Amino acid sequence: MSLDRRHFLKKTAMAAAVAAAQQRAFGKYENTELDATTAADGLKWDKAPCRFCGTGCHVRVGVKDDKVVAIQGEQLADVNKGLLCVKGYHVGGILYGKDRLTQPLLRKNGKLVPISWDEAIDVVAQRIYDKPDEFAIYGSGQWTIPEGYVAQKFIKGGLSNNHIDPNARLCMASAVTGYLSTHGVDEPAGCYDDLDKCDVMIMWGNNPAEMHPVLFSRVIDRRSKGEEVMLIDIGTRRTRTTEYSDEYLEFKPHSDLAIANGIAHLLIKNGTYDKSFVERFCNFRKDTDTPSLFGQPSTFEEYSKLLEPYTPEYVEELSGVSAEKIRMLGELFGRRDIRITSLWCMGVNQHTRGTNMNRLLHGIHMLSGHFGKPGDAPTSLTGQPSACGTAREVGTLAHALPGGRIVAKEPHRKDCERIWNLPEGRINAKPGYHTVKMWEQFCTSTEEGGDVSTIWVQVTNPGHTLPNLKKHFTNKEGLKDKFLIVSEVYPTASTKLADLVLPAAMWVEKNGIYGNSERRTQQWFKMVNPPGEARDDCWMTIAVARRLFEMGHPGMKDKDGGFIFELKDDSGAEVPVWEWERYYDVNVDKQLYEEYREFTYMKHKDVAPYDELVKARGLRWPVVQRANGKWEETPFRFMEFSDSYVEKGKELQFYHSVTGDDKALIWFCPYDPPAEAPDQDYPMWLSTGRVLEHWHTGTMTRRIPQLRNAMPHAYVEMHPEDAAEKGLANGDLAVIETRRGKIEMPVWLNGRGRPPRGTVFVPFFDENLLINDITLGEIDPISKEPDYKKCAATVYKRPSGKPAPALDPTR
Amino acid sequence: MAFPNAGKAKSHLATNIILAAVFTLSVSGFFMGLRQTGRETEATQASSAESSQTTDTVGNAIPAPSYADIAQAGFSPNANWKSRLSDLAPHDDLDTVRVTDPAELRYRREQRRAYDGSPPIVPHPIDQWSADSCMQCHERAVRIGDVVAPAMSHPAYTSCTQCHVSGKGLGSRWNASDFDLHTGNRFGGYHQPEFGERAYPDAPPTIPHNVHMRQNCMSCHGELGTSPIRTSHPERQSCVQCHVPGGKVDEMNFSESPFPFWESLSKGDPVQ
Repeated sequence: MSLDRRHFLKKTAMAAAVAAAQQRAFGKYENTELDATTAADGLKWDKAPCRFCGTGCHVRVGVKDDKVVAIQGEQLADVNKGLLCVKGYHVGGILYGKDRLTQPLLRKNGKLVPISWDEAIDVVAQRIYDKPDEFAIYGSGQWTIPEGYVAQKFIKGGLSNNHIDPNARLCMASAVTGYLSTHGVDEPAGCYDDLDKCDVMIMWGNNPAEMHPVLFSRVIDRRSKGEEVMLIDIGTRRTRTTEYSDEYLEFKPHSDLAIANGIAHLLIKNGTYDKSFVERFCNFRKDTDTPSLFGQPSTFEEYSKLLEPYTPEYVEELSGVSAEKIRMLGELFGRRDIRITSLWCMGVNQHTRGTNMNRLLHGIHMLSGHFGKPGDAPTSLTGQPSACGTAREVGTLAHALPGGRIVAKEPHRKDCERIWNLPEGRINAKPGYHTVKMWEQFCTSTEEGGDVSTIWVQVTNPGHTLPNLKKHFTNKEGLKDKFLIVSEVYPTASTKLADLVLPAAMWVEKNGIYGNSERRTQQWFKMVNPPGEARDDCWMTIAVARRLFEMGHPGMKDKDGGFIFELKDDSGAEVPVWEWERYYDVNVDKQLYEEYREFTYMKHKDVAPYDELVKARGLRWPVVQRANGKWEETPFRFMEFSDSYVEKGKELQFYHSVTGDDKALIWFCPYDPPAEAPDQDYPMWLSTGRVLEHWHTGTMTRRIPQLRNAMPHAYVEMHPEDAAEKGLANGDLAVIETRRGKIEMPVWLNGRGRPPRGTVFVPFFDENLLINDITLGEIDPISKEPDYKKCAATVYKRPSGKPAPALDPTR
Repeated sequence: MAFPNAGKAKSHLATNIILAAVFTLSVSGFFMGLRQTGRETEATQASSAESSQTTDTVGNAIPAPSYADIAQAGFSPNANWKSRLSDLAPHDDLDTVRVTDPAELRYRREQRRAYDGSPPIVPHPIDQWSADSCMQCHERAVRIGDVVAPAMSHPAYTSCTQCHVSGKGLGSRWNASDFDLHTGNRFGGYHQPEFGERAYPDAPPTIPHNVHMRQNCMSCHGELGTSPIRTSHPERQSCVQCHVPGGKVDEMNFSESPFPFWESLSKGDPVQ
């Protein structure tokens, strides 16, 4: 809509005149009695989860003439109760960027040229057919559940290849290993209701005021209603969250482990830990010499002894947080009369000791008994709309199978082969490459052992988000035999190196199901048609599988010789959904989801039937059918008052306990030094993260004018004294250099975040200023998640004489 | 100035002059104060060094800039602000009481909103740090010269920037010029009808927009509202006594979704 003012005035004057004339003629406007969801002017409204973060807000989508034209916060949704954030309010705009990809593009002589879908599917199928073992799928926590499920079944069940991993590896892998090694099963026990009940909320390296604004408002709005809730921000830089917090504890990067241990130390030393809770519900663990997911048994005595060194004074030395504040935290956790919720996200997860930090957070909540009641919860937030639903639950990870199964376990493989009707032994027992390894292998030449030659990227942007991009992405350029397939909606840093680009449908241009951070599964329907030849990701995978089937690839056949993605209509006749024209003849999502649902029972993650999801604004699993036939969700897991899988009288039961005795594990994990720390040559900490307006790599939000105008480009935040020392003033160009390379960007002093001396912060959303060119790429030994939050850097004023780069916002 | 009572108008005029003077001082002082450079942050640092480990919810005191620094534009929230009233108003981006044409008013509205019901973008640079500065002007309506800072239209949610972002970016030299909100995006927002329905001539019109998050009618329709939509009877306080929500969205019962999209899809119709 780019009406100029004069035309606009003319148009509205006309409309007003017509309306006035109508009014005169009929005495009143025509009475338009509308059916329930069709509003004035022929607008249709339907529900959908927001496309962006893991909060999982529901929006109402207003559609007119095959276009999304308006958005509202869904007032009936438990998650957001009618409120959204600025990204959510503008989510409709993501569909309409002028550079949407609308046809398949194949690189010929260095240039991407349009080809037909038929040819594109041929190209993909041929690459896979030739070298099925060197093929990998790099997926996403933005995959819908059916999309992830199809990819999972295709590669593990069809190709007997386990090289599939999601970008969620970069995001919440450490949270998964944290939950697994504590509860024996993944995903939070609590939910967002905890935010309504807690007396104290502790945010660990977390800035929800910008990153999970709707959840943050859910807490601070309680203050407006006269309730008291204490907010404690434990962080490495001041943020908007700090502004709302009662306490701000600034720690030296990586020393959060010491703080958590300091709290546990005080609970034991002061005798304020919850003895009966620990006796009834907990066992103790410590790690093995080589870090492992389940470590080795320990005892309370050994645990106490290992914690002895972590006195408040020692913790102060390690972390920079005063002993007095550590005691304050210790005292809070020692109180039985308050409820404490801990929130964390990337600060804890993107950490070379991310698994350990997750374990410690669970540990202090267990030790102090701040667990198992609404408001008493350690809760990890996710960044993507279906990191939980797809990556974690469908298990689109290199070692996993759907429903909490893993490839290494024979019974789990057999389960899958049975449900998928595959011949025995089809599924490979050897885990595939995790994300960082996958891309390293892809960017290494075949002669040097790079044994991944084709990667199909779906719904994510690795060319922007992988750490140390040169090593993990850009080195691909010029390598023979390597072939990158990218399904995308817009040109991105990833499509720059792609050999084949497949235009994808997005969000309400297709049917979908997401699962948010609080175990809530959410469904939506297609509301508008995708532009040009853009098509559903799910269809793409099925079409390639079908082509391989036609080429005679044995893996595309089930035990009885049928196609592995056989979908039928009501009459039982097979529908050729691999033909795009027929894809919506049946509800593919529903059929795939119902097939997947059978996988979810083993770990008691029973997702709701599709038809129930349709009626609801998301349902939190386990969703259990009651005697009266009603399906009920479970807000609080493992807790008798809420979870029907807990045996009567148990109160709290970790029914997937690692130790098999319904108890959770409290871990001891030591403070270990960071992988790279500031030194003489690189004296500063470099941390990266997000901003409110842009979601992840900004491929969607940077195409929304309102959001782009508000946050046009990346910047480097630093302390004014550090800046003054380097002769840098606000807006000056600075060079940030690490051992991986350097990058130039403007300095922002006293802006949105305020790092302490010795720390700089750069947001990663800007495609033109790719901070991941210089980030570290070291990973947690257990979760394999990289640390984006800390590496050593030096910052200096850009040498004069060089022409300034064009930082035109309209680039 | 369209006050019905001439005497009242006179006293309003006097009040306005006094108010204008007060607000000139406070607003220019406020925005000047927001502006900081590396050099003048010692004061901030001194105070934050003391408070870095303690509760700090009200924000640091903002030191006044030196006059030499005022002309410099950096990443500062008041980069585009002028300290003189005559420069401040009329300001094309801001609401002014001079707007009398409903179509002009509507144009301004639409320039600031992706669609009706979307939170408006902020037409001026903002303090990126704290909501306190938003509340200075928007907690209650403020008028400076012809420019009006409308009061919040909904109850006090305290994280303003969660929904309202500035259209003026970071105020940095790298994005000094705005680009058209519609550049590069074809999203065409839906805008609701201009007028409410009347059951019969002279009946109180219904509210032509949805009222969710617009509960404070006086925010736009109060005495400081722009004239085409200003109430003609400000003495009446209970708006919804006579004006009922006519916005179809608010009225709709969403508790049982009839799934219009799936029904049409499964019938083999194209979407829509």
